[in-house]
Amino acid sequence: MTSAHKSTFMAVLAALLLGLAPQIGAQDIAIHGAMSQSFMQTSDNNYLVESEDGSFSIFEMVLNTTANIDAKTRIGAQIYGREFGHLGNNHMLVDWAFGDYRWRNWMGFRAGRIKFSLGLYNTTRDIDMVRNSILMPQSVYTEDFRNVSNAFHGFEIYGSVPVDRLGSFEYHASLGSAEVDEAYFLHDVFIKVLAAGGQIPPSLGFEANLDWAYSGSLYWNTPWEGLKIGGSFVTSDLYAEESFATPTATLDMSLDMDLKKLYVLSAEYMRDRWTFAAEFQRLFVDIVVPDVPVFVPDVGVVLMDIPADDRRGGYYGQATYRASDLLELGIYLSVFHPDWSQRKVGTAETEQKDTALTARFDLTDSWLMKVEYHIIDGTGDLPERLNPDPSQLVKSWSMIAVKSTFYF
Amino acid sequence: MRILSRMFLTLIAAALLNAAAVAQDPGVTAPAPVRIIVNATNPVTSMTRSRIAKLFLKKTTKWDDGSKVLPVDQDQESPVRSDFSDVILNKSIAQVSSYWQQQIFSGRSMPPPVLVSDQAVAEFVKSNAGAIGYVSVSFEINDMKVLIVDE
Repeated sequence: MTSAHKSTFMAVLAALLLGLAPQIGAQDIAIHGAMSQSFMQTSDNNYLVESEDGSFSIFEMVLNTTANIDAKTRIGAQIYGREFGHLGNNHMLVDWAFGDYRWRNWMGFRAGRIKFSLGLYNTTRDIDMVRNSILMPQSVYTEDFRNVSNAFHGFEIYGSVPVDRLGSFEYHASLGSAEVDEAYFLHDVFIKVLAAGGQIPPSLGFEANLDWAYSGSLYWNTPWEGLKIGGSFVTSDLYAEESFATPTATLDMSLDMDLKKLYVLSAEYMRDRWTFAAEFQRLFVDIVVPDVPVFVPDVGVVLMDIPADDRRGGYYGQATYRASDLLELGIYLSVFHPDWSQRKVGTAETEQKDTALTARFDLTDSWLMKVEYHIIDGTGDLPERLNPDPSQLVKSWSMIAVKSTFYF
Repeated sequence: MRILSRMFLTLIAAALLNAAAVAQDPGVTAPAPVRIIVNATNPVTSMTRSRIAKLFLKKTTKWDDGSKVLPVDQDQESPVRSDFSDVILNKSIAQVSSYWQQQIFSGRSMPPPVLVSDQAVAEFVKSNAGAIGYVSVSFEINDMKVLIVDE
């Protein structure tokens, strides 16, 4: 389905919800939305966007509608668009759209396009109003990987099972597949392979599909009120194609990715005005880029399969304090290793430690501002795409970000 | 960049001072309790605070007999809403608002309807068997049940 088709589908769905829902007895129809603009500037290095000179190219918008059909059944959909550096280009895409039948508290069923219940915050990672920081800890909520682990088309069962004095257990189990609209994580694999051959030609188009994605999560709401711990995972296969314009011809490349495991272990504790969260993520991905033309001396150009496995990992700890209705303060430490096995090496390119001080100002019921300062050590999460000369990277650097969001 | 950094640190300092001022404000007193009300036909007579919170946050959506729970909220600006958030939900109104944003934008749930007075809440609870609401302690209650809140 192309972006145009998705937008049309969304418009039809919205019309159905808004126009026909009353005729089929739907109640509580609600429409919500938000629009955000950010500014980021780094002291050195380009991070996520071309940030060294300061960048306003981070813009997001979201619109959703839901309707209760009866006491157990709801339908809803959300469209989301963004410009995030070169990502997004403001195309509005279906973020989620599903029907939900909550049979009992301990079991419900969803079908449609559904967000992966990955980590504590994947289902709401695009929604600025629900969190304190502008930039989520990138060790776990990597922007470059977002579209691979964002949502799928398929089915999900979920529920909350009370266990007497032990609290309750929340679970999700899902099965489906998905198109991946854009993913710098995959684009960067091609770039790395091409850069090894001394060229980074411009991209002409990208396509990827997740096949048979399985995912699940289990969280324990402990008897200690406010303390929740648990884990989640996604397993899938992915096939991606990208075309590049070389000086002589169009170069079509593809890759097979075996997402063996992406898992997140999570803990959250909320007490009074404090919220503490900590998460740990590991990624086990085997990637093969087949039939890459490689020049071999005395032989000429031969086609080779190039491996590009990824074993990244990271973790963060975060604390936020709601000081007043106007103000919420926060701090987090996020540690990322592009190759987990190299985490003890301690060089700039094997890690990236981000200490962020964050402040959120709820100026009105529909307008908030955020400002944050990051002290960053390491260059392990800086792609060649934005930093083509590795010798120019600076190990210790900082970033400031400002964001304004209007919502209803 | 340095100027921006200094601006940020100044903002943080101002924010911390603001937080300290709020914490030390002698005008801030312990919140008054609220009354939790259900329909007269509801067999429930008492409930723990955390279970009441689950009903209002829609983490539990059914009564023990399987019927649907219909929580009803009060206006965000009302003192009784503030007391209810502090005493029963153990969260500030801003935190509760953020919770509902999470539910709305993940497609998981929608917040309870908001009514603008104790009288309107009472009427709603009277006319809906599965309803649960809260009113100020000064509000006169007839033909409804006031739940005993256990810790």
